[in-house]
Amino acid sequence: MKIAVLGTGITKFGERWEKSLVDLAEGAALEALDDAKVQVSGIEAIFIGNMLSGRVDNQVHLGSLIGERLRFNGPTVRIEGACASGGMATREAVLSLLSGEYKKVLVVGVEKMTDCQNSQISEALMSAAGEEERRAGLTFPSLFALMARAYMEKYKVSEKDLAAVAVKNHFHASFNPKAQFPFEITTKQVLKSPKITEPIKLFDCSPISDGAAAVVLADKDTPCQVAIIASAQASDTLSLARRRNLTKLLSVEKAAQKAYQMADIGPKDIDLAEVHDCFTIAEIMALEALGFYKKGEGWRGAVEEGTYLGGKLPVNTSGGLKAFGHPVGATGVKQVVEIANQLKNKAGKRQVKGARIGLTQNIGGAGGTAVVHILSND
Amino acid sequence: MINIKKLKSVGIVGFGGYIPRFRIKVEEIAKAHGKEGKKIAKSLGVLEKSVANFDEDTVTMAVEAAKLALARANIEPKKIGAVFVGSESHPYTVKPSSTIVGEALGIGNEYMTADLEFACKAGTAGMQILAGFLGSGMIDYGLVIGSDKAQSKKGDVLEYTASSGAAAFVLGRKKEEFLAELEGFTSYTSDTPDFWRRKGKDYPSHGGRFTGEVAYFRHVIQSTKKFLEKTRRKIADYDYVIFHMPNKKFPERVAKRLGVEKQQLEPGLIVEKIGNPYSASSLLSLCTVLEKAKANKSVLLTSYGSGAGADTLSFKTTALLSQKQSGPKVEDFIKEKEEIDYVGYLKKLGEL
Amino acid sequence: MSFSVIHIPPSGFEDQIPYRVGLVELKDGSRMMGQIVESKKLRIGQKMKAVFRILNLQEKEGVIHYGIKFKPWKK
Repeated sequence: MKIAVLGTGITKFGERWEKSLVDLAEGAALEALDDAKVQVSGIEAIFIGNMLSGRVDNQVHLGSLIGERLRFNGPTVRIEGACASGGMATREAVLSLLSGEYKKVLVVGVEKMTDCQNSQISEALMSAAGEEERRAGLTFPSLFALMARAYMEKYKVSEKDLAAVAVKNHFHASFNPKAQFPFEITTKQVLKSPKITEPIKLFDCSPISDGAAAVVLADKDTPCQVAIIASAQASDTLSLARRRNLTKLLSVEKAAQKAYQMADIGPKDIDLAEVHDCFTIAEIMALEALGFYKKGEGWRGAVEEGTYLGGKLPVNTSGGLKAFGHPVGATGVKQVVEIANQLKNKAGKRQVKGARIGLTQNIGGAGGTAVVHILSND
Repeated sequence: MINIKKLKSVGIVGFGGYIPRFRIKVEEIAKAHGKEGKKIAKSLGVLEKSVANFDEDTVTMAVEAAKLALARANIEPKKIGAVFVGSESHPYTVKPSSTIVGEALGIGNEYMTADLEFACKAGTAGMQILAGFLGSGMIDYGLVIGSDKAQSKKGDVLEYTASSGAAAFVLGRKKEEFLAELEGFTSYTSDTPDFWRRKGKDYPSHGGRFTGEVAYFRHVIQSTKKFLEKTRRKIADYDYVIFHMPNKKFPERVAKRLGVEKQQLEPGLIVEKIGNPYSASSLLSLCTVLEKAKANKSVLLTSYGSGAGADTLSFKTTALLSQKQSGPKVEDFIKEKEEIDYVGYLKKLGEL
Repeated sequence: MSFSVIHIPPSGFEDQIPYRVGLVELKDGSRMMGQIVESKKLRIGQKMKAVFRILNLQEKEGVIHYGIKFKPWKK
């Protein structure tokens, strides 16, 4: 496939109390349209990725709301798959272009999370998990804590090894003015941060954020500098209790396999990746599922600096979810924005020199859904 | 009037107790209220009491005890035809505990039930009712549980002893399955308001010294005496004698007055280590006795419930009993303990 | 199979922190997520016993939810 990425737009991620959800969506959308040199009237459909607006804002029907703000009368669709909503919205847009129904569409991932109390957001995020897990008093981080503990026990990995992921992503974010936390942190700071759900501490977790990201996509007949050459999605069980192996992200493995096949390449051909580091352990497990590291070796990425800017395979040059921010519905689209800009040589201080092929990996819940995209500038 | 001799073949085919893990010392409670703990502990004869965890209640403890009773009885839960949970701390004022217990144990839908309350003797009352059902032949097996998470006003004398626990019994009517036969029972009942809790109130009230002679002693003694008289038996005929234990002093005193020897009373006297778990008190004592007793031993039990009444029941163990004494015993539960302080106690009660 | 100690709770569990949750493998091979109570230390592979407890403690007016939790099991 060859889906043109005509333009990208992204708001600053963070505590954007002065902006509403639709303000953020509009901001990113207009920036993307401007970058693509396309008017709203040139767009044939809008795909929106968002998880929580129904719960935290009591607002559904986002398609109509955002369409109203952008003065758009065409079809609008809201797609939800927990934290994979952004990646899924991108995929649905890709499929719509492949179907031939449209030639040019807009994808917007947007989330507003900071207007609630922590406990409300915590509860809302748990709607991505199962009933049994909620009744047992689990929190979203605790699902990953269970996976982390199993991983650490199996592969003899320490909390210090996990912390390296957070340190790396903050280092990258220090070059990114739109990041929520554009500053470095130390391993010591991570290890001393308050316990959330052992072994996960505050600095192992991505933050609660507001933000939006958008891309304008067009069909294969449209000339472009960067294109999406593969799009794949896969699922795993919702509940951890129904999974055979706590240390594997099966949905990511399956989606990645499909995507590599589609693009006719392998993990070795990827120059850089944006992966879903909702928690430090998630990046480590993703690197293994994507085939970049062998099972049980994913932790080497940050520790041995192979996944740093300038390393063999820079991962999360945007700052990842941890340092750039994680407005859940926006993240999947933000990953595409980052890779597209890297491939267009527009990443400034974070530029990966000579990048040709990039990959995005976005998951929902504790890995119940995974979406992988591969982009290229050939 | 009660015709003791009319009782048909009824016996215990399974039994089990449950005592929660936590303990608070009488001295620790006294310290919190600025009182002299050693003196109080001595006068009550109680060292510490059992405290349920914050996520336990009458129903959860009843289920734990009943699970053990059913396992020992080794019968299909669906064969149970009636369930009675006796308590003065049912979690709902309206909505039976017994249906939650029945559901959790897989008893199915074909069973008769209603909740029971008679202060500390609701459990034995349940046994009497089941004996009636079983005697009629309408049911083959019945389940009765005495369970309480006893409440008390802070600083009141009851706070030192009001504790938590549960004891469950599966009763049947086939002699060959009996672990102990229920030979007969009687009751002595009157309207004596020695201890009560009004609707909507969190804590019970009591009549101080009025709970002694006129209440506990009169009813326990009268019921026991009437039973012995009607069955032409003597206290000395019994290997084990169990009384309801609001503290250690009352049963010791009533034992003396009835001519009960120390060795008859000792094996069941568990109040010193766990306090008074109300409806489970005399029944937990019965459990521990059954877990120790050999074949052909006789047990006399008189429970007491404020308001007031006493039930006297007589049991005879069988040879089958020794095969059913495994599993977590009451004495294991007594030993499996974790001490907490007054702050921990308030946390467990959900008041902190 | 795995466990965690939760310090930041969801609403309704504030008065229980820190509490333990775990993924327990049952006798028939299936698995269940549950709270682990009355334990001092935990390690992967430890034997557990299922216990019947109250799940929604903060609910004062509605129906009480009972369910399964786990506690360490010694012989």
